[in-house]
Amino acid sequence: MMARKAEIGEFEQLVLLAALRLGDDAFAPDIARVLEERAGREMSRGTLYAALDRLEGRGFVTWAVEGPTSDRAGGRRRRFSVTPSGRDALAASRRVLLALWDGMEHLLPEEGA
Amino acid sequence: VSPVHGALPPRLARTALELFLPRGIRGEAILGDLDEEFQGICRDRTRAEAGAWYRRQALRVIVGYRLLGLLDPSRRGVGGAESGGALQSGYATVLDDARFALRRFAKAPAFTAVAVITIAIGIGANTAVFSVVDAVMLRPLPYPNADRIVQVWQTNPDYRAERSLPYDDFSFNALDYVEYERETRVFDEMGFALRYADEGFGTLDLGDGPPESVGAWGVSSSFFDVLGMPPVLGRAFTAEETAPQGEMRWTPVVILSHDLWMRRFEGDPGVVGREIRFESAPATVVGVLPEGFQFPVLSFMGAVAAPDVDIFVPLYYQALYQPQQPGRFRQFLVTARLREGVSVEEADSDLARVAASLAVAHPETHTGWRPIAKPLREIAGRGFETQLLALMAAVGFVLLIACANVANLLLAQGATRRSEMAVRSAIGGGRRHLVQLLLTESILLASTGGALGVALGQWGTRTLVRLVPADMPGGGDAGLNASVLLFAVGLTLLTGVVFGLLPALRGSMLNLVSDLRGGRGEAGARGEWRLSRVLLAAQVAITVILLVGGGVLGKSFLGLNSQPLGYDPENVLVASLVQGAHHPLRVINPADSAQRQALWQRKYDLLERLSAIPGVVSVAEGHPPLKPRGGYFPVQFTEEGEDRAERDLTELLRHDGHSHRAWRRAPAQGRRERLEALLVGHGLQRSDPPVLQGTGERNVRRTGLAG
Repeated sequence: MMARKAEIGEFEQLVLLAALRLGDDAFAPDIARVLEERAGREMSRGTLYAALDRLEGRGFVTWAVEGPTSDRAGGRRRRFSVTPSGRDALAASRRVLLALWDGMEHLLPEEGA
Repeated sequence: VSPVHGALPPRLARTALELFLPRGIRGEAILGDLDEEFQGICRDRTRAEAGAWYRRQALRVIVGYRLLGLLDPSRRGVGGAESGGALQSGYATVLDDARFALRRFAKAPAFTAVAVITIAIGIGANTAVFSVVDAVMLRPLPYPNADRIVQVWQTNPDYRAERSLPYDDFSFNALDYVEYERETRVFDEMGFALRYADEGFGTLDLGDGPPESVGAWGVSSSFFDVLGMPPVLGRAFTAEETAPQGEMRWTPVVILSHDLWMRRFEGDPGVVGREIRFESAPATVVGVLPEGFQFPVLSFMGAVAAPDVDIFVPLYYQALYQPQQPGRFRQFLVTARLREGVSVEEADSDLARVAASLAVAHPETHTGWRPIAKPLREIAGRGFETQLLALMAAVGFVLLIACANVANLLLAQGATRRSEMAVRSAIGGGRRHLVQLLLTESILLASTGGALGVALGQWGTRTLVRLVPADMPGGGDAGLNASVLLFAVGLTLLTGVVFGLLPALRGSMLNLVSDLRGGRGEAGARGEWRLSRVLLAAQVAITVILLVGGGVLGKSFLGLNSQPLGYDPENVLVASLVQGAHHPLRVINPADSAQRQALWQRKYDLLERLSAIPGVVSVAEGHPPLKPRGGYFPVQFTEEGEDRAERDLTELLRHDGHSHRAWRRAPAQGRRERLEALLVGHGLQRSDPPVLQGTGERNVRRTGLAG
C-alpha cells in the first residue's frame, strides 16, 4: 500500500511542483498560470481541480480558506500548500526518475539553449 | 486590485456552474477562481474571447471535475470540508451506490425480474416503433440537394368529383410532359418514371437458374441526373434511347441497381456491356447505380410508394404519345430538381403559367388541371405521419404504465427499507445522498431493462415491419442504428428518473425517531398509501386511454391494407403471370389486330381451363390486376360504362364474357355485392394453369408465376 501511495501521476506531479514553486501564493488560478506557461496551451480547470482533490485526498496538499476578499466581491478563496508527505512524494518520484535516467543522458538529442 | 465591476461572466455558464458545483467553500472558491480569471482575461483580451474561455472552462469543470468526480473513488470523501485535509466520510460515489444496488437486486430476484421485464417491454415497444418512425420520417433522403427535388403532379377537383375518386394527385401524360419540360423555367432538370409493364416487375434470366422476378421501372434519360445519382459504372440512358422519334422501337438496354449487381453479378465491373435476358429478350447492361441509391418515394393515386427497383429500362415514351387523346393516359410520375434559389411557390406559379397556356390550346382536355410541385421530403411520410405518431404516443403510454408499475413496486419496497434509510441518515447520509442512492438504483434497474428492451425492440421491429403496409416508404429499412440506440439510451435514463424520482423523494423523507425504532410512522404510511393510490389511478386512466386509442389505431394502422377498394375482395383471388414477350411499352402495336387476336386467344384458352376448376364461379382477365392501393387505373368499374375513362378500362376487362359478371362496382350506399371470381392478371404466356392459393383471403392475393 505504501509503495502505491508514493506513486504519483505525471500531471499531479506537475501540479505539486507548481504549487511548491508558488510557495505562499499557491491559489488555483496561479497554479493554472504556471502550468499553462510551461505547456504553452490552455489547460482544463476541470482537470486541475480534480487533480487538486485527488492530491488532497492522498494528503499531499492541504488548503486554508482566505477572505472574504474585496477583489472577489466578498468571495472566499483557497490557498493551497504542499504537505510534508507531498514533498516526500515529489522527492520519491524524482529519485525514481533520476535512477532511471542514470547513464542515459547521452541518448538524448542535444538541447539548444 | 479593483473590485469586480463591469465585465460579468456569461450568465448561463455561471448559473450552470452554481448548480453543479458542490455547496460550501469548495464550490464557492472554484466559482470565485473562475470569476477572477475571467476578469484577468477581460483586461488582456476581448470580452468575447473571455466569454468563450469562461464557457469552455465551465463545461470542463462541470464534466471533468464534477460529473466524472462522482465516479472517482480516489476523490471520495472530498466534499463539504471547510478546510483542507479533513476528509469526511459518508459521501459515497455513484459507483459505490451502484455496487450496493447490485447486491440488493441479487437478494431480491423476483422483484428485480418483474421490474426489469416491465421496463424491457415498455422500452422495447418504444424502440421498435421509433425504428419505424426513424426509417420513414426522420432519416435524410440519400440524394444530394434532396431539398430541391420535387415531384410534380396535377390536381383537378372537378375531374375528381365527377368520378368520385378517392385521390387528387394525377400524373402526367406524354404530351403534357413534353410541354412542361419545354416550357417551365424553374427546374434544372426534369425526369419521369413509369412502372415497367404496369406491375413494376420484370423477369431476369441469367441462365444460371430459374428466372427471377425483379422490380423494374422505366425512366427517362434525365431521371438519375434529377436525383443527382448517376450510375457509378457505365452510363445513364441517352435521350435517343428513351425517346426515339417516329418509330416504335424499344432499345434493349438496362441499368442495374447496386444490390442486384452485387447479388447476381458478384460486383463484377465487367458487367457493363454484358448481354442478359430481361423479359425473355436480350438486353445490354449499360450502367450500375451507386450503392445507397433509393428509388424516390413517389405519390400517385392517393398512395405513396418507394418500390425496390433492381432494373431500370429506358422509357420509350413516344409510344405512349397519343395525339388524338391528349388529355388521357396520365401515367408519368414526374420528378424535377428546382433551380438553385427557386422556391416551391415560384415553381408552382411557373407551372400554373404553362398549365394556362395548355388549357388555351386544348380547352376540352386541359381545363381545370393545376400542376403542383411537392418536395420529396414532404411526400416521404405522407399519409403515415398521423398513424406513426399515434402509435408512438400509444407505446409512450405503455411505457408510462410500466413506469407507474415499477414506481409502485419501489414504493412498496421503500416501506420495508425505512429502517435502513433511517440508519443511513443517522450516520450522516444527507437527504441528497439518500435520493442519489435510490435514483442510482432505479437508473440501474432501467438500464438493465433498457438493454433487454433494445433486444426485444429488435424483434419487435421485425414484426412491425411485416405489419406495416408494403408501400410505406422506408418502412422496410427500419432497424437498429445509431439514432435508434441513442433514443433507447435516452429513454432508458428518462425512464429511470421518472419511475425512481417519486419513490426516492418519498423514501428519503424520514421520521428518524419512529423509523429507527423499526416502526412505520403513521404519516409516512399514510403518505405512501396515498401515493400508491394516485399511481394506481393514473395507471387505470392511461390504460383506458390506451384501450380506446388502441382500437382506433389498430383499425387505422394495421387496417391500412384494407381500405375501401371499391369492390368486395371476399373470395376473390388474383393470379398474376409474369410474362415474357408481352408488355405495353414495346408489345402490342395497337394497330396490329392480328397480334392482338393471337394474344387474346391465348388468354381465352387459359381462362376456359381456369373456369373449369371446381369451385370457381367466374373468371375474368384484368389488365392491370387489382391493387389494394394505388395503381395506374382506378379500381372502380361501372356496369353502364357511360363514363369515357372508365369505359375504356371496362373494355379491357371485357374481352371474355365472364368479366362483365365478375366485376361489379360497389354500390354507393356501401352495400357490396359478393363476388366470387378468379382474376388472372395481364398477359399470359405459360399454358399451365397457375397454382391457386387459398380462398377467402382478407385481401386480394397475387400469385406471381415466373415463366
